[in-house]
Amino acid sequence: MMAVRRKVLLTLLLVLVAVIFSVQDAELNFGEIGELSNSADFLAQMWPLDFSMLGHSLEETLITVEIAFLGTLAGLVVSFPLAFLAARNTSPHPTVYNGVRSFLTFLRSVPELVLALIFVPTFGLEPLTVIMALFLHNGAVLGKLLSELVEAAEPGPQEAVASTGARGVLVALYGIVPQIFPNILSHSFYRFEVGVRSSLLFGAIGAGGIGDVLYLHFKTFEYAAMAVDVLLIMVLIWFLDYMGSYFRAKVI
Amino acid sequence: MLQFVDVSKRYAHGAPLALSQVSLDVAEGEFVVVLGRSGAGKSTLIRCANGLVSPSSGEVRWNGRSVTAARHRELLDLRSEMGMIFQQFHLIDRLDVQTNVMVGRFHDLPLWRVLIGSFPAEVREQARQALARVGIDHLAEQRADGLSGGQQQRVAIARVLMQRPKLLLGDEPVASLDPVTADVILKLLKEIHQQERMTTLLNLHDVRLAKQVATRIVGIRSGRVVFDGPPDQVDDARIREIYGAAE
Ligand SMILES: Nc1ncnc2c1ncn2[C@@H]1O[C@H](COP(=O)(O)OP(=O)(O)O)[C@@H](O)[C@H]1O
Ligand SMILES: [Mg+2]
Repeated sequence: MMAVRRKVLLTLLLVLVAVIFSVQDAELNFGEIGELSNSADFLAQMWPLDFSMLGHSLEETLITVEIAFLGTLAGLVVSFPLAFLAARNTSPHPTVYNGVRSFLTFLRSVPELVLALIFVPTFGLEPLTVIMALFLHNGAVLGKLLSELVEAAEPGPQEAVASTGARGVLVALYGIVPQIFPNILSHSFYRFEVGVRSSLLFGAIGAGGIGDVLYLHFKTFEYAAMAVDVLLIMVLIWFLDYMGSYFRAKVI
Repeated sequence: MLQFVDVSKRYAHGAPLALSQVSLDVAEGEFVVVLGRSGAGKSTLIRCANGLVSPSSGEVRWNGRSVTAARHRELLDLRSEMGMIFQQFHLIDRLDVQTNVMVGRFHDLPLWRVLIGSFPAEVREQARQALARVGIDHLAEQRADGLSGGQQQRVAIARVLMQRPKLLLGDEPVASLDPVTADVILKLLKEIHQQERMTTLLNLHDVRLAKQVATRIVGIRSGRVVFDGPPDQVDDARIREIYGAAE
């Protein structure tokens, strides 16, 4: 009893210390809170909404989605074979298993932002740079996730296929993939959703898409047009959420 | 045709022997039923036949070739000559019945065809015929996981027919079925044994069922063969010997 109470107190103390340091280091200036009217002004200028650039914004929204789609799909395609090499039960050799697994772990630990920066000198601040970053990141993330699904797959159907004399790649394709297919789809769609959010942010640093347009409208004081961009983004995120839960329920 | 030569199996260091120096010779045309209580080593024995389990010592031979030493292509070739059905059926749930049956031909079909799922018309037709043979061709297009247990085991049997093996292995093939269905499925296996001259090696729980279908019964107790003879020799005393006194 005492031990539990001391643990709780200690945890609270640590959180408190962390808050104090964080507030100091971030130089939060609450004195400026009296000038919240600036933000209110900013919000007020969004009205009435300016739909004159809606067509362009819609096109750019589509580009944001396409960037995420291509980055995720490419990642999925590459992660698929890697997952089988990185799963204990299907890997041809322990060395391959360890090698691929370490590679995926390393690649996964590199933030998307860093991956993107690596490609900026080659492709510039362009959609292709973002696609490449998402591709590498998703390849690694999905490779790990899929390898875990492969390892957790029921052995029964695998044995049944193997018992006919079918070779290993067919045992994997027919004995494992159908079982984990719904999970592959839902993981991939989730990565796509995350990819759209990343693609929005990369847009805001100039890599194209609706994030780019939004930031441009912000910088040029076109707040009423920017508000439309914000609405588009909100609708997009809501739509993806909805799609995600719809077809997660559907494919199982 | 199938020989177990001094086969022992220990799954892990310190674990008891699942099989202990089992020697057994299954001849062409036999219908051998393995009896024994739960944990006696029946599944281990059946699974050693096609190399799903590797013996710790001893050797399994198939028509003079060593299953135990076989690797890669050679092992696949050996396995293609033995069909297998399971207690839990182990179909590919999300695929249709016909595709499940065509799995029996994966060993012979060109790899690219199976990879992209493009099966020749005659293979599809043969799958239909195999399904008709087990009485469920009307279910060909259904998803396997929508079927009843008895129907799923029929699909698995159709897959074996498609494979056209010389030996049928069965690991408790009727243990998950209700008594009536179990009877029907076992009769079907016996029919196939007779009509297709398919040598059969099964393990079963039920002594009564075993005596109905077997041409030979093998009793296993704690990994050892304690009985090997014709069904009519299996009397109460033998049954006690195989199953041991009730605990
Ligand atoms: N995959 C396995 N790993 C470890 N031990 C196993 C495994 N399969 C079976 N055994 C053990 O081997 C013995 C024989 O099991 P099994 O062949 O399944 O018997 P039966 O089929 O007659 O019930 C049991 O003690 C069981 O616990
Ligand atoms: Mg068993």
